[in-house]
Amino acid sequence: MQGGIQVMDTEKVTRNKYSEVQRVNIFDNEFMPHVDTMYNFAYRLTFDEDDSKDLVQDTYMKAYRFINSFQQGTNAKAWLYRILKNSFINNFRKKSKEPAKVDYQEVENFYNSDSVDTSATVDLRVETVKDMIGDEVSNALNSLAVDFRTVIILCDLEGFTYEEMAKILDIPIGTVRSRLHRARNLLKQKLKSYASSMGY
Amino acid sequence: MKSVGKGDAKKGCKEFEKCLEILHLMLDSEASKDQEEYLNEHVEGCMTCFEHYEVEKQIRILLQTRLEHKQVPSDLASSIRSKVFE
Repeated sequence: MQGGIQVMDTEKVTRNKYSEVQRVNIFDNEFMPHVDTMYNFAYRLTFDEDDSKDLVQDTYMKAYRFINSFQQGTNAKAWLYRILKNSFINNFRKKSKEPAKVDYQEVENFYNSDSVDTSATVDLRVETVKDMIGDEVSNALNSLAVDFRTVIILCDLEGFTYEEMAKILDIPIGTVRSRLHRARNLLKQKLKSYASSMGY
Repeated sequence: MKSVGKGDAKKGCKEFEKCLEILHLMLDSEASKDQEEYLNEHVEGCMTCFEHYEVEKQIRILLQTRLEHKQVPSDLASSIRSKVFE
């Protein structure tokens, strides 16, 4: 992975003492370039433009407040993702307009259970996948529970490594892998059912 | 070579679980050199895993290219700065 992710809530954090000028410099040059991608991440979590704006603003306010926990020149994007994801869980999840809310524990139990691994039986053809349109893809992704949706966004859309994802989500790498595996199977099932309904 | 039919994907490969795991690691750029060599060689003779690899690769491409990119509100950056530095 490139650069460590400084976290703001563990004892291991190295505290820096940035001057006012340095703080503004870090904020503008390392944090602000990610507004676009943060907004898109927020929107994929909340499905609401106003909530996304609030969530991104909240994230940047926190990032600035805890800027002394951030090591200049390290992975600002991953650090911001971590803050945004925590803000979402703490403040937004309850009031978000997400249709299907799944309790976190329920999700953990679900993929830790001995349920049959259905990946092998999801028979999706390359040609079918190639013909899918944006609406089908986003509907399939959006229908996943937020924890599953999040790992797919972080891995496939944003290209974070497993190690970075583990730090952003605060879970072990093994859990990243199993959650990702489960998420991909669920996504594939959704895509398959779209394909079937379209008569492919 | 016979194409993979519904529900019999595993039948085509004796080490399907192992292959599937490596296949995902490879597509996520997390596989070791040995794992990559193994799978590259394996898919040359295993249609089941070859097709799975192609489908998984295509799904990633789909996610990267077909999802709508939300336009950021033009005032968001300035509103963040003014909130933070006010």
